Amino acid sequence: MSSFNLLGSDNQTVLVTQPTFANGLIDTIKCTVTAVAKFGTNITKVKPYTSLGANDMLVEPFMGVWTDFTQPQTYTLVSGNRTIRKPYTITITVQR
Amino acid sequence: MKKSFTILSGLLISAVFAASCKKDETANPLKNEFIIRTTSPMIVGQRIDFAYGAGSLNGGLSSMQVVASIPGDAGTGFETVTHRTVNAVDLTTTVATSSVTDGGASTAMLIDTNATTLRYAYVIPEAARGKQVSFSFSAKNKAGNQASTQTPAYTISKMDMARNITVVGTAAGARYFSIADMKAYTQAEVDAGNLSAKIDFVYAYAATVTPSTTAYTYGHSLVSPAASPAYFPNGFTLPSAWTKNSTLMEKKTGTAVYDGQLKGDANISIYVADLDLQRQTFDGSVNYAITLANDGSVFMKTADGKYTAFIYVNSVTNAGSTAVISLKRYQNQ
Repeated sequence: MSSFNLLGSDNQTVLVTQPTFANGLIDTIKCTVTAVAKFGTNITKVKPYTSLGANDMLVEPFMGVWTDFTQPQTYTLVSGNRTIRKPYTITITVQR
Repeated sequence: MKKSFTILSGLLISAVFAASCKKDETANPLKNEFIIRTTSPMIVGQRIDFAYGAGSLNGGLSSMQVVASIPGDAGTGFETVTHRTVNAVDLTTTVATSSVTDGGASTAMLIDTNATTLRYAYVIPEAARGKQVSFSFSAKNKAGNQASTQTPAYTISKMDMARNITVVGTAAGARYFSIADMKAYTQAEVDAGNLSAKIDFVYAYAATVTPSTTAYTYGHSLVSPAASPAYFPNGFTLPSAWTKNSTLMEKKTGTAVYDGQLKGDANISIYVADLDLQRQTFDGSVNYAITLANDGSVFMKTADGKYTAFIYVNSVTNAGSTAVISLKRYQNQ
């Protein structure tokens, strides 16, 4: 996972800083993503998106649907040859 | 052989010419056509604009008439001028001596002209809400010929529209908005009329708010009376005796949802229609929409479920804590 984003009902990002591998908010060793959502975000209804390392990789379950991120959510990245599966835990906190 | 072919060809051409001449003799020398100029939803109180043209081959036109299946409101009728564009400038020429509307029929008496186009505006009456309306155009010439054409049936929207309502986010300002009334009230007006049960959202402006220890961007916001105090500017409270409705809200932006009618834009072919309001869902929606800007918008559903509305932010002004909003409102059930 190279980047992650969450969009609100207005199709705009709700995140203060978009997590990437480069900024350390995506940890590919621990398989975690952490991010902070802006004040006022309806975190029960956001759409997750991610960038993957290779075109033939998969994410399970599908992203891009309304999802409740009140609790950490787990998405599994599946390698191109379908033999390696890495579950990522995504944790979002909202500014309060 | 070549000579025979030439003769046959000549006979065939003569026959076609004779046939076409015969057709012209029986055809109506008066031709007419209409175009509808309105592309956006047809809303009560708004206009449907047509252009109706007619041309006569045997003398001047005498009149044009249109009959609407449901009589229009005041303002319905033909113009007395015809329009043309020269170097992108709209120019008009008077071609009618009078334009009269009586019930569903509008008539224009024409000055001596063999061909012209008049604009006809139909102001949609309350009686047409949710119904279909159609129009029968006709023209006469001085030789006594008549031509007519019938439009399809157009469905009139069920929704209402109100544009350019100024809301003021100050203590004495008109910041309490009723979707049922499509109007912003001051606190004094709400108290005097005991209107708090009709208030669906409060307009508020603050550069930032500090719900705990950190200041966050707030800006121009529309907030349900029942929303958490965290989503109101610091120090703002509603009178304790007021009914506090919880209006469901789905925030949008100009790039995602756009309405040329509410914006008053030249491009009115992009719009929110009845169908958008009927199908808008509010599963998991919150009861506030903060950090709105120009061209921002919010779908709302009133606490009693009676109305679904689309609120469009025409403009915001930080200095005066004001915003200009417009809305379309659909009555459910």
